[in-house]
Amino acid sequence: MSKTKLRKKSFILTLDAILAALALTLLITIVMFNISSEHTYSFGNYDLDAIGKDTLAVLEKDNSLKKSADTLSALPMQAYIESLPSRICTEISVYTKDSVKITSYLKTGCTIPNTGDIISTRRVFISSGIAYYAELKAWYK
Amino acid sequence: MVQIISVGTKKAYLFTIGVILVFLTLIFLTETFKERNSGINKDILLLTSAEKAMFVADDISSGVYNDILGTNIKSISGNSTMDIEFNNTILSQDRNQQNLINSYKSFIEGIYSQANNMNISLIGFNTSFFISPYNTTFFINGTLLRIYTMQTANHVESISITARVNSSSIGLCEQPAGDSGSFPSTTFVSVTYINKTGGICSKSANLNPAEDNSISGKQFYQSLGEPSGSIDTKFGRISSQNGVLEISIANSTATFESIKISYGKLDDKITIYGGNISLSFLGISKNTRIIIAEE
Repeated sequence: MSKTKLRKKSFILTLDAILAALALTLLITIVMFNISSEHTYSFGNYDLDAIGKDTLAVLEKDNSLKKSADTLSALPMQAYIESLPSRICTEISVYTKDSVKITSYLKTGCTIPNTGDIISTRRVFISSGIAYYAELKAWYK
Repeated sequence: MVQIISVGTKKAYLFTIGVILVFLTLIFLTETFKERNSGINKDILLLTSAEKAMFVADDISSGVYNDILGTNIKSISGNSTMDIEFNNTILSQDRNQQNLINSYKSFIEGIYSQANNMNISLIGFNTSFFISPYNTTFFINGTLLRIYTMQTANHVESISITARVNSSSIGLCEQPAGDSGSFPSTTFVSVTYINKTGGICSKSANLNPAEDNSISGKQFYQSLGEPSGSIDTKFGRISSQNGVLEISIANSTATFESIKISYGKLDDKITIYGGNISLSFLGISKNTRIIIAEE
């Protein structure tokens, strides 16, 4: 094979390799973009949200929230909060309609985490004709 | 040599086409994955948003009329008539349900809306609620209670009222003269007021719902002592409307153990409802009526 032909062939091979590398890079980029551009929703938060809503509804229906507002004490809510599953931590607070905190209770053995998912749920209730609301924060231990 | 090059070129073409097909397949698969994830996320967002809207609507409306107006629907029952009985209703100069309703409304539309990242409005939310299909409006505020029962036809066969008053003695115990006729041209109204020492004033009469019963001598009237006060009960044409029951007190407090309205039977089921809740967030809008009780 002559030198000219050899150079020509080498040039084509190099060009081919560069084009192949570019195509591969483009493919990987497109694939990674498609995979990473959508964040899948976590159902873990959904569970906490449901538990929070249910807890507040129960505490309202059995008048625990009203009793807490009337007595300025978290005592009426404690038994139910402590009966929640051990993996679930909660903190419940009762506020006046002007957002002044009246009382608060943190489940035994729990500390509020600095990071991670904390779900917050609220429920309004009325005592002696006046509106209050309770806020429940929930997270996994 | 020519043949060898030709076979190599064909192979190269085939290889290139194969690689392109693999590439296209991979891109197609990842696009599908992306769209599927996007769909799931939208579904979950819609589900949680719908659930949140339902929870908030229930939260706002649950027991609100009972808790603020201080009146409770004890029962809805019927055999020959459809009876709706209210209890725990209190008339007192110390209560101002209108102020409490306004305060609740501004709280829900302000702080509560912000806390839930929603726009919430309470529409037609006041100290009245409605009884369908009987076109009845129940109104209460402070020392006055009115039940508007009649739009066109009189559906109310009888009204029975029992209340305890915070006075130690009862003075006058008067009743209006009865009107002639029977239901639907008249409604039978009976009242029983009991004082702190067990003294009872009990009266009844057949009353024409179209007659002006707000004038003197056309009402049930009890004067009260220790502390002195009075309680008036009227049924008939009041404020240019027929079929209105009005109870008002002066310088006293009355706790109604029972206000029972017996209607002639209609085919439609009874629904007792108040105002409407309108909420919107994340592009979702929900408008729901506050149902207080249903048959």
